[in-house]
Amino acid sequence: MALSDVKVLGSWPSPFVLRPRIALHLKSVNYEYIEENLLESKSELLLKSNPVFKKVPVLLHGDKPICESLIIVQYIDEVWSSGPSILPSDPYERANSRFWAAYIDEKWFPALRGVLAAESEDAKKAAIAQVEEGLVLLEEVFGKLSQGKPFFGGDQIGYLDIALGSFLVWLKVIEKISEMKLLTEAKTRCLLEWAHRFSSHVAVKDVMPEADKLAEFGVKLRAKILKARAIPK
Amino acid sequence: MAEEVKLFGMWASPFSRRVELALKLKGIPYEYIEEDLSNKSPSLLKYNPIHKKVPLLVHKEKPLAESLVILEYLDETWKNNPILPQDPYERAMARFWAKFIDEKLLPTAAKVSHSTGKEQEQGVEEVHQQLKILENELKGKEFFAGQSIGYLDIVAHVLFWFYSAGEASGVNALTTEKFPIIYEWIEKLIKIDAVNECRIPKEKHQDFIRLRRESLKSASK
Repeated sequence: MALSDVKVLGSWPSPFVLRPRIALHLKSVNYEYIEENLLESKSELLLKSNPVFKKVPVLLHGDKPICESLIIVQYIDEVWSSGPSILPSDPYERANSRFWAAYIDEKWFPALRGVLAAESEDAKKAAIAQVEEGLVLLEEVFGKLSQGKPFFGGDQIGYLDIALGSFLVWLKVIEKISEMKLLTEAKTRCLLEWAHRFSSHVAVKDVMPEADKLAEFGVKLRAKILKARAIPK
Repeated sequence: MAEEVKLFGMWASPFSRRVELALKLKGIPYEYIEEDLSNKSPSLLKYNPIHKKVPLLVHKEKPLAESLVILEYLDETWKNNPILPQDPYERAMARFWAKFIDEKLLPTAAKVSHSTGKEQEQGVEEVHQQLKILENELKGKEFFAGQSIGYLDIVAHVLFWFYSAGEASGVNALTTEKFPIIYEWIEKLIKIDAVNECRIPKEKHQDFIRLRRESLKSASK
């Protein structure tokens, strides 16, 4: 079948790229992974598949490109509907999952990135505080949504697990930069335990980057960001 | 029952109007509560403590925030007059363009509305580029959603904001000459009753924008 051709265009340090990969693993869908180098100029394939944002991940299903990680995850869930469900079946729970995933991407992730890209100690401290605040909030969300089960999605990894879990290795890198633990026994015990479960899950463990390798990349990325800022417009 | 669904909104918020439009198109009865954003009600703060924003939908006492999340919820809960396409790829495309509108186009439009001089000029150029990209999606179709109004039209109807804000921002970024296809689409939209009922009143809106520009100017002195 022409449509059994599934490719993911990605980049190993990108947390967003992990999302469709984990989703495809959960659905037991085979795919070809194509690596894009984020620190160099963008490939023809990427520019052709995602002309609007020019970013990874891109899912290529047959000849159709689908962009934006969470949109891709929903697409995967809807197309391969015979596999385990990624989004909950109840509309209100689905809405909640979407709401918190949007919070993670629009509010929490910028703070995480803010620690990496901070130009001053003050800016760094402020960003760290925001990351911590977000995690405390998400600890509460976990309590409400998991209802005593191992994942945000219940017994199985779901949409919100994927949304947050994709940032876990970056979180370790940020902990290293901050010289402090951000997921702690004291404030985020459930999330700390969930993080171990998620990272060691069979659909996840083979695609998570190594923390040391990512930390090295983080240094290069920070330099790139600061250099771009220094260029007068 | 109307009391089952409550919408906390604000007359000038395009996001709030978006949800109203979806409710009307799907024929869902609701109670509308106008919020004074400079003096938010205790109910709003209780139901939406994270963002403290409108629109906020409350269905059988359960709160829902973020307009795009609300639109999908409405479509999944009330199956009549579906607004999202059935096909997963079409759905992904609709969601993608909604994201483009909310994360690229609208912030640029806000920049145009709140700035002057060179900054505003730059903003207008960016907006033009983005509008051109979006306009492309309308080519050969009656509406963004195809033959009839759907999710992406509801999301994109915030373009009305430009249309009515117009000269009040000091510059009209959305002109018929530059964007004839978008204008044709707007003409079709305003023939639909539900859309007309959700229109932000033009003069009131222009006054609102002028006032906000003035307060921003005096704040920066």
